[in-house]
Amino acid sequence: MSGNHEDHDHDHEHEHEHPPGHMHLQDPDANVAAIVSDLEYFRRKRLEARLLYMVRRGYLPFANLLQAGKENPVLEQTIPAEDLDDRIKALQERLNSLVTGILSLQIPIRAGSIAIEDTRFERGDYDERLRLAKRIYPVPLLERISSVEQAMLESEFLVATIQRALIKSGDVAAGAFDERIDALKSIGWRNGARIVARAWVDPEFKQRLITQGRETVRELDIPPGKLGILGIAENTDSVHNVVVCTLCSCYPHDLLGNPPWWYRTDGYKERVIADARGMLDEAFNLKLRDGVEIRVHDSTSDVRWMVIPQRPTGTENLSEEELANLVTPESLVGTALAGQTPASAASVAHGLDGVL
Amino acid sequence: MQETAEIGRFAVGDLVRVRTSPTTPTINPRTPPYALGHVGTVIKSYGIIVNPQDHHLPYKPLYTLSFKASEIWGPKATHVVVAEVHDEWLDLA
Repeated sequence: MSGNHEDHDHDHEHEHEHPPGHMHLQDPDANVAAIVSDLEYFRRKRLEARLLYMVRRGYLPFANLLQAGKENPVLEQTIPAEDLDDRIKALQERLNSLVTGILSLQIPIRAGSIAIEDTRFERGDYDERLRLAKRIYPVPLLERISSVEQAMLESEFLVATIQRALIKSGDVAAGAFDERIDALKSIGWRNGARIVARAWVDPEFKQRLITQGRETVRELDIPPGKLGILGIAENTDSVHNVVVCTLCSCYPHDLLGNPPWWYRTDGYKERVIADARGMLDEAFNLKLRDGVEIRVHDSTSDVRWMVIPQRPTGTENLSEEELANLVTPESLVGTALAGQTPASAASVAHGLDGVL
Repeated sequence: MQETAEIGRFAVGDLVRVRTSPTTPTINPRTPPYALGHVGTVIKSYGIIVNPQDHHLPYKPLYTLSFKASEIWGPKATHVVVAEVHDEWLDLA
């Protein structure tokens, strides 16, 4: 798809994970590594964690889940494409819809009171015994892909079953998940691109943004979301900002959608916080002058950061819309400059090798 | 501490040291482990904020601190780490 058909965005949720022009599959291993990393993150930390939460809270009794599983039409694996690239691309597309489905499960369920104190301690997030295990996938590529396809199917089945069980018990209205999915599709990194472009052309907007981030994005008819404070880090000639969340994967996703896949990897988190300059160079091919101070912002649930990249030189005559097209999801995190092609998934996977 | 309860005990520019361990069982657990025991500079003060644990009730004042990465990871780390830490985790350095 070409970048100037903004109205087609709704058909491509989470396209930022694999922006147009970056789909070079010269390195299928790295692309599969990116899919595995994301699938495992969303399976462990969003889908199954959410399911356990719903079970523990009594929103979704196990019996209802099993019953709905029996009634759910069994999902079958479609016959994989013969061409390896097509097969991997199909997995990427399935991953995108799966992620939207998983996020739709965050829907509020029965607002009634619960007699349990809802703190992180009680929930066990910090309990060693409740650490979530990662799956191991076979190393040979074709075996690995088959195994990823199977894991994808299982999570797809689980999402469909949870949705069915909640609708059947009357705790969620029929259609509510679809509505939620539609709403989720409208949130994406292009919101960030529009915010940055406006900040480039309107210094007063930029100032308001820096002091009152969430309130200010309303001026662009972007819903401000509600996840804590929005931190705005502006790049200048002397300061380059990078964003990470070392504790989990906090990101202003209620405003900007999901961050690039590597943002959630341990490799990125561990390396950027301790060796930002080396990692930007090696994994992202971003070489910054020695005199430029690199600031790594560690996001938490209190403050979630986004970067305003520098406006590229020679763009004085561009319209605000054209300027927005120079902004990439990577540049909003600070691992690429605006107007510059970000490092491919393959080279990031190589650069973070061994620690994904 | 009453009069400073809402804005917090520290001001922009203060050098503060992050405590090495939680002082109460209910303290916000999300202070980055690498910052424990290290000295940072307050670069922004938010005052009281929404509780990061239940996302509902007010919570202790929050600051943005800036740390020299070289003091944590050694001289090769030439960058700056910027992290948010709550009042209850901090003492004047």
